Amino acid sequence: MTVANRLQSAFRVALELPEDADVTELKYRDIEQWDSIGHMTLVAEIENEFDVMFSTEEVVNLSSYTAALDMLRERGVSDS
Amino acid sequence: MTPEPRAVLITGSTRGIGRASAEALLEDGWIVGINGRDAAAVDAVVAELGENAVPVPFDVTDAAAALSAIAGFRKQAGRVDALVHAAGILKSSPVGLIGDELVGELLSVNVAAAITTSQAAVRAMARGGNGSIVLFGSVAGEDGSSGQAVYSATKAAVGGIVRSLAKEVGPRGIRVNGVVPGIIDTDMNADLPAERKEELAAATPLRRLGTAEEVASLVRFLVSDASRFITGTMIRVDGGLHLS
Repeated sequence: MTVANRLQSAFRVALELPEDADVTELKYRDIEQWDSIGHMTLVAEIENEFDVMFSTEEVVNLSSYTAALDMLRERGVSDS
Repeated sequence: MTPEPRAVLITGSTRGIGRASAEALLEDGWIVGINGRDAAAVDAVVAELGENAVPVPFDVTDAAAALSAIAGFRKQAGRVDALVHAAGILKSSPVGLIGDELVGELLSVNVAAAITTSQAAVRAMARGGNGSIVLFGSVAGEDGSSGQAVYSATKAAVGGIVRSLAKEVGPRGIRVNGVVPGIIDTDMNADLPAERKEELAAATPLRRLGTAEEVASLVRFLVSDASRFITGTMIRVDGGLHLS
């Protein structure tokens, strides 16, 4: 499974979106579910899925799906 | 099927009110993260408290360490249901002699650490959709205290944190409350002269100082389902001192 697919799944689970929801263009506060606490849920879900831990600065910068994917790639997370 | 035990991290739990709270929650079947700056002291307390006590040593003023430790505790316990932020310091200084170092130290431990540990706990609780955070104010923060302008300010700030976080995280099922101890007979008040303790006891309608266990009883209530409709409050355990 690719990193992108796993990340999209994490977004859908954390933000309680349908399985077919396109999250690839999603940005913070684009939708009601991605508020400040939704953000914490999302961060926890991504950390759990990829067994990583983001710093507070990274959490602040994780403002879109694309930013999250870039962060994971910078950390060397690769397709399994 | 036996329900999975709930997990609570208690900062500053190697002694005093934090430790009494840990003992109370262990009695109730919780997994309890024991915290202090001194890893050896934490290990010693864990050894005394038994297998459901888990060492989580870190300095609460180190935000990165707090974040990492709380995430580690969540992994170890499998969940985080509650945070009790009992770590705090009390230092006094009369006006005119208040130094920047004192201000910085009290703000760092009593205010900034309350925010960073709460933030890390919210992150750990967010996936579960419920949780309870208990912070500590003080009667000095509510009523003022001569010679304790800085300490009082930091404890008054806790009320602001409690009310703001309660509004923000309430919709996600996370409750945030504050405990306001009166004059409690713990190490924190060990420096008070005996005469002053007698004066304070005399000023308290119940005519005595409180115990750590009596404060722990409120903590126990606030993290339990019995208080599930209570959030954003600062509750006093002061023997009626506020009436004096």
